[in-house]
Amino acid sequence: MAEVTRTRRLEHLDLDYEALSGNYFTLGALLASARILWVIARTSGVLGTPPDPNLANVETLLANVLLVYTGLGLIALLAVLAGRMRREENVSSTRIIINYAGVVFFLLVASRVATVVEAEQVPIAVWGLQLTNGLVLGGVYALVALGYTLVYGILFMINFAHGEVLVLGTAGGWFALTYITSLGSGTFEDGAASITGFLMPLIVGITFLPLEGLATRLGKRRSAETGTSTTWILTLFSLPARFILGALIGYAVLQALGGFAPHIYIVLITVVALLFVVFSGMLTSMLVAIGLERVAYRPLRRAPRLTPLISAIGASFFLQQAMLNILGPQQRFYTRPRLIDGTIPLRLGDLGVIPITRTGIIIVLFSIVLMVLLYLFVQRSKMGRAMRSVAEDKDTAALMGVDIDQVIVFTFAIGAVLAGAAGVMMGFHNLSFNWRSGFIPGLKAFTAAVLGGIGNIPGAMFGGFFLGLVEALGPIALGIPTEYKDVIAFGLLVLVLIFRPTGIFGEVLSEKKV
Amino acid sequence: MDQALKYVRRPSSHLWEIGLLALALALPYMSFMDRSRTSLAVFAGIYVMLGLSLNVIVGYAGLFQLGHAAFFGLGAYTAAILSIDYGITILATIPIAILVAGGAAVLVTKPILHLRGDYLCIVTIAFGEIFRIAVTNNVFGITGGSNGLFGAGRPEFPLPWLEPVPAIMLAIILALHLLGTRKSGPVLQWGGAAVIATAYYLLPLGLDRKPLFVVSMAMGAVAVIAGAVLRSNRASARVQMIVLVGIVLAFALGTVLGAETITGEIAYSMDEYFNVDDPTTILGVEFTPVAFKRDARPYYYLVLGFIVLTVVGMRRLQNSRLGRAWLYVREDQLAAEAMGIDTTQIKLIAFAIGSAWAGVAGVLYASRFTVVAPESFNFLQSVIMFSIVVLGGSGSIPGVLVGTLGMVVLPELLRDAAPTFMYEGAGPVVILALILGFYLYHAQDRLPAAVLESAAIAAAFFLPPLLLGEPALYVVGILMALVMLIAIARLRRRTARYLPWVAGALAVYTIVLLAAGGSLGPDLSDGVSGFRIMDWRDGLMGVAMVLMMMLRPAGLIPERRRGIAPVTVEQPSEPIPTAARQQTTV
Repeated sequence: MAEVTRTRRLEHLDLDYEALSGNYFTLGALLASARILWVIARTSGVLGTPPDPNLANVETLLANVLLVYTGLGLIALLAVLAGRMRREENVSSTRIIINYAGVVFFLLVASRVATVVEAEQVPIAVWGLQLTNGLVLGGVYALVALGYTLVYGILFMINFAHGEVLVLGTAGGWFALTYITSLGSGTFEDGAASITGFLMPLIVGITFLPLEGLATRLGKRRSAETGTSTTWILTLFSLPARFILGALIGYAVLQALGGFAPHIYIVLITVVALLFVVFSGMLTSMLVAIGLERVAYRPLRRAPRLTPLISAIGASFFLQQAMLNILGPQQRFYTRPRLIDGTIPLRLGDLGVIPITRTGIIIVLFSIVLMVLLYLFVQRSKMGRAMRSVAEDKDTAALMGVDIDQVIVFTFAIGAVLAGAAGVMMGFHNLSFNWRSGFIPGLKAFTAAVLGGIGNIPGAMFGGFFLGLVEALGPIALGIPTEYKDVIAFGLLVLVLIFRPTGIFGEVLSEKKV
Repeated sequence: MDQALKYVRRPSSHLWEIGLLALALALPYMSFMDRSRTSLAVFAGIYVMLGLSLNVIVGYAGLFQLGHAAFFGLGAYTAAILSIDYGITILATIPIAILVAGGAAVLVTKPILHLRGDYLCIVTIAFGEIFRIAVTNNVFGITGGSNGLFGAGRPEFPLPWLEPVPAIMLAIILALHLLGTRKSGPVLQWGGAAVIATAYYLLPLGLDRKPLFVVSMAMGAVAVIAGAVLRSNRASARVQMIVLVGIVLAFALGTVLGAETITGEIAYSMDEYFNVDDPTTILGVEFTPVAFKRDARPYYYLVLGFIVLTVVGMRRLQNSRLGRAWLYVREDQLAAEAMGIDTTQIKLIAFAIGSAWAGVAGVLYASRFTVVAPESFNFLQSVIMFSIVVLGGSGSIPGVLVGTLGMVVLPELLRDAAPTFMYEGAGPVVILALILGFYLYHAQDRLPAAVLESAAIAAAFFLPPLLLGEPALYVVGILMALVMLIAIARLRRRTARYLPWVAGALAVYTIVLLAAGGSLGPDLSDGVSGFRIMDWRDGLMGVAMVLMMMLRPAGLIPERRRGIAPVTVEQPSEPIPTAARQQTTV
């Protein structure tokens, strides 16, 4: 059968036009991006100020190539359509027409950017500043988008309340921060010192416990009711002694640092206090998400696809209102500790200075670390494997002995932990939030997840950063007011759905899903 | 075969609808309706129209639309801009609003309609946000920024006061009468028509008072409605004729006796509701220019008229070829495609019709409130519209009415209500009786034990408040009763002898409350009085959505199934068969 088709194809020169037009679309996107990047590079002064006049020729060349490319595409498109019409094939040509429209769209956008940038002559310092802003935003979006993608990959539902989970993380972090500040009677550093004085001995004490041995023993006790052995009793007696010893050591180290190395001491207490804030945010988000799964989603697991979505919208409204009644309608403010406040200037010689905020650097690094951890977790750990198997086929996974409920709860918890971290980081970046500030970022993070192909973990990471960059750079490049940056983000969503419904990297779909 | 295929459509009776309409017509004149409540009724009426329009998209075609407020807003802004900047009479902007809203819907949804439902949902949310942001930032400089637009015109139209309008009304009344009685014999059909027509013209012309035509029109309407009611109750032609003559005579008698006062009353009401200018004569017909005043009652009837139009239109639409196509697409898209239905086209039509009609509601909104601001069209409004449809029962018209009552009217009426009934008067007793009655009903198979438990719970419920003299402690008691019943249900599965546990828990509860409850009372009553429903409206709406999806996924008043529905074999292994079961048997 296949050979017959192939020979038929060869006779009619009947190529796979859909795939060809897909490649045509991709190449067009690359050409347009090349043109945009080149224009930006030339006008912003990276290639020397004032730029070599010959460099403008390259740009004209790129513009002409894109134009010719579009024209050739039109001819090819018409030829294919005419051919199909003549042979009266009953094939839908929508896809190739849409792909062609996409290339035309790229052409228009590229020329718009070229004219705007040419007229404005934006210096590289501005671009750089927006680039760093975009990266910070992108880190936050990527973390939240991972939550959407993980849940979608397993349950095929949009967790509409994820934006609320995000801002609950911000709120949890805010409460922790306020608590720390109140401990230090107004200053963060004093509060951080006292909370570290409590947390540090606790943590060191816990690390002194024979954790692995305890875990195996507890596991044994749960599985088989055996009589308590003498070593078990010995361990039981030695536990408090070990803990107290560890706590003493921790306390001593802290005091010694405070006395002899105050710089390290300051760094240490700030890091511990910040971690406390982040963990509070993560914990809040996680608990809420687990409760949400239990109350609003689990009873609907076998219902039609869109039923959980309505339930999720309801849950999201309940959370918003609860937050309004707890936090009040006013803005709440984050304060940055002295250590992470301020900017690091990045000097570019005579091109200017890009002030990069320390918070921004920390956010981007921390989000990348979290993403790498998540990737390793999903790929390497036992639970990660279970998650992947459930995403592939729930029923078969259950037959293989995977506890579906546990995996789903775990997925929600991981997504929420990432969102909680993102929420706290968003708080430190924007410095203020209110009960409503989860909705728009949540929607944008969903856009990011769709951009990368929903259900696709690396896709969500890429989509988050891409969306952040587009949102930060788009208003300058297209010459529209910054108030419309949300419009750009949502417009991007619509465009992606029109031209690449499966996202840039493609949706991870198994046979059973659709 | 008869068992496998069941014809489930019941013959419809118009009695309900006529009664409801009569109630709606009389509503503004009822004693409990003050100015603000009439205004609320107009607002709710606009939401009914929005719900009905969204029902086309969500209910009939089964698509998700969470940006309906944007199309509502498009209609309102179109009307306001045309009315303010170009001076067009506001009701005349309806066709343009339809074009703008429907066209926008087609433009936005056409490229993504073939995608899965959840994508569509997110894109409509995104569109709603884009609309709100654009309008807030004064896009094209015509939307007035975040303050919105002021001074949209009120509805105005020339009221022809003389011959043509009464004649047209009479023609409509007679046509309705003739159509309705076509099976009741020529005496009722033509004789009745003659009686109506005579009485109609006799009174105003005989007494030479033209405003009495209003009374004649009312008489005609009453006669037609009464005839319809009698027919749906299968009254004989003779009874119908007698009733008709009785109505006409009663009206005639009343009018002749009080002609003076009635004429004065009509003229006064006209002046009160409308700005009535002096009549002008165009082509031999007297026209009286009329504009609506701030009184909400004329708007009420205007909106009511639109609602009736919408309901009739929606019902015709639902039973049309298009409506059936929507049904098939909603139930099984693959099968619908196999039957040769162009699914994308059908969905697009649903979106266009629903959004266009939301635009009409927007025009009404602009004409009533004369201020159009972005905050009236935000995401919350979209969700309220969506939950009106989903909670009421998607696809069902009564469901939309019930949903609007629950989502728009009830919260406003309860705006300042505090649930003090939980500890005042007979309230606690009633609540406890309801809880225990529900429990006993579910525990019928082991009634003695359940009665014992109920008695113990009741004793623990009444003891602390009565002994301490703190009625507010009943609030704790209600919570205790609920928790206890859940705990009993759990315990029963675990242990065989649970009664000691229950008794122990109740004893501990009573002792603790007696020991610590004295100071708890005032706090609780403060807390209950400080609770305002309005603060939690959106949250309660969310909870209602979650609960509804679990308990009754098809809504409060599910859509009546039309056509032939196969009776499916119930599968007990499915964890949630309720949805399927309801859909097949209702």
